Amino acid sequence: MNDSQPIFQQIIDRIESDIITGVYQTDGLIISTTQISKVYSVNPTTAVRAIGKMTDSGTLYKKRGIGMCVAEGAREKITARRKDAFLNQTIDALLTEAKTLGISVKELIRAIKIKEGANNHD
Amino acid sequence: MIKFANVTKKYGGTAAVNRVSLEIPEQGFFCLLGRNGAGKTTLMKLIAGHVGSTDGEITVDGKRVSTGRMPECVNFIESGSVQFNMKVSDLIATAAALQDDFDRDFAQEMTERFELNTGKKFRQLSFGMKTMLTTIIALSNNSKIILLDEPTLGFDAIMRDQFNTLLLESYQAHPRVIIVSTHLIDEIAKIAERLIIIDSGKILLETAIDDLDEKAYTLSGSSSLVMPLLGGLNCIGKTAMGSVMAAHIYDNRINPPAGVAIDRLTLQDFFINIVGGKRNEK
Repeated sequence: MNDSQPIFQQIIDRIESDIITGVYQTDGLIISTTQISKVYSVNPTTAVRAIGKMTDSGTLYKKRGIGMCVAEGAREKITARRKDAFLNQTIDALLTEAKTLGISVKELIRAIKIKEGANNHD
Repeated sequence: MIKFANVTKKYGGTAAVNRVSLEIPEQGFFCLLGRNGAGKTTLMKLIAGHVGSTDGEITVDGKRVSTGRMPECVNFIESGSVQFNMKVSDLIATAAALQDDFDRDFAQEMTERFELNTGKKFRQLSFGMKTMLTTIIALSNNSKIILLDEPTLGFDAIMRDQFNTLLLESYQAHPRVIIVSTHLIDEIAKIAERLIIIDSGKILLETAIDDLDEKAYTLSGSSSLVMPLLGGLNCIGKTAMGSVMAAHIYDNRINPPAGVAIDRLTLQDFFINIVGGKRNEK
């Protein structure tokens, strides 16, 4: 766990990533709060809180007697929200850092294209 | 379940517990933090009826507690407490015979897991194993209230980890009131639900530990950027080095502006600031 975000938020981020990448499928069971507290070595109440927040936001729902499952449409919602955050905050941060280092937008775009080309050849 | 109404306990002229009002209405796993001499042990002894209050009233389950009326549902384990010098297996059998709802399976499982040699006599056990055995017996008793005073004192890191797992599993299987005092703050922070901080005989704070995950943090960066943020925040401590400062906050989270970093405070650092900070103000 890193130090800047509250732990419950980091747990949410990890589970959301696993939903986006398909580790957890729609209507599929996710990791239990006991497992979360053991695997990430966090307080059980923090794990419960993370899962509670994800239930409140409609990402997860409870299957009685089984556990917490991924809600219909959760993947699309998370992807849309993260895409929005990427296009706003991440690009803002990129531009700020580039400006600090004296890299022009033109140079930045060229660097991105070169990277993309190199990665596509892999 | 436990209620302190304006309780004071004086030893000679010194108040070890000073006009404390505290209510624990239902089951919960509490950690009790405080510096040496802050009043942790006295607070526990008052709940158990091992010492009487000088002033004020303590009730457990609605019944007033005194040294003449020690509550039966309270099990208080001091660090370094002793048992009769019998074989471990006999000690467990005796405890089981005295208590109707003694959980033999739990006691058996735990003695095996911690590799307690049941053929050894109590005095032959190492210091850590003595505490482990006493605690296992207490947890198997299914008392409604369990008070553990620095139970992991003298344990190595692996024993502490095993002991904390034992506590957590026991609590999850049989929810009740468990109060643990310790100086190993960040270890207990991973398992306890609530936090009580006592300092100079007074309760400084009683809150859910999870609450600090979001609300206890440090803002650091150039003083000119950090200082203006502090106006509306509860700042519990500051460190300045030249033009750079770190401010420790116990308040709602903010989104700091560029140039100001935000970091979670560990429970230990939170404790140091909230107790140390109060001391500096005097």
